[in-house]
Amino acid sequence: MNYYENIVILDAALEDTGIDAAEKRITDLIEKQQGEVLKHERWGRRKLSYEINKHEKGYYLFFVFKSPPAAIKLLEELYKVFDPVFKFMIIKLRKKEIIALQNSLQAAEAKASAESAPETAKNDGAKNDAEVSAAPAGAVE
Amino acid sequence: MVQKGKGSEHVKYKRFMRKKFCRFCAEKTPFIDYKDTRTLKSYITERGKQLPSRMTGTCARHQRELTEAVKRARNIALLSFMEK
Ligand SMILES: [Zn+2]
Repeated sequence: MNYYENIVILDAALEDTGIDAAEKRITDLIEKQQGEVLKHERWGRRKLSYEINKHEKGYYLFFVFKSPPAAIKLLEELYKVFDPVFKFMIIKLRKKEIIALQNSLQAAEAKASAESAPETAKNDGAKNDAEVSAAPAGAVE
Repeated sequence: MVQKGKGSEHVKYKRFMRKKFCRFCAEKTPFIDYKDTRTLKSYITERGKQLPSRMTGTCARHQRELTEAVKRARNIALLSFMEK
């Protein structure tokens, strides 16, 4: 398993449903390869710094995931034939970047559980709830 | 150390100059992020060319890292290759 970071630029003319579908297709592929999406962000429509294939704007998607190397080849193959994608970049994270990533994931998790905890901290039953809800949140993000 | 001008007299009359230092070393940046275009932009010219380390004071290690980050940012159109 390696850690990767992936930026995908979609056609800016795409409707929200198209963006949802593209995002799902990418995460599905990663998960099918026993990978795990650790972070996904939508940066939205932005102006490109230079024209790419006659596109001046693009919709940026950003993923951080953990997967076996074989998944990368499949991802690249998908992007080459997947029409809404006109540019992508996949980067393998190095040690220092992985450490920073793990710290940020932990911080996000701690923040999420701190937000749900305060009122129910004394109540044992509710505490269990918080722990249960913290786990899937970490997995989705 | 860092001396502007070429004549030997400049060595004698040290012009007042703030000592340059590597920002990434000073801040102990764990790594230079290619997505952080705001930082990267302070190390490139208006036209998009990377500034030499002798102007910015960046150390060799971080200059290399910076170069890689700029290249990645350009690749994905967060920065331009050349501003006309
Ligand atoms: Zn340095």
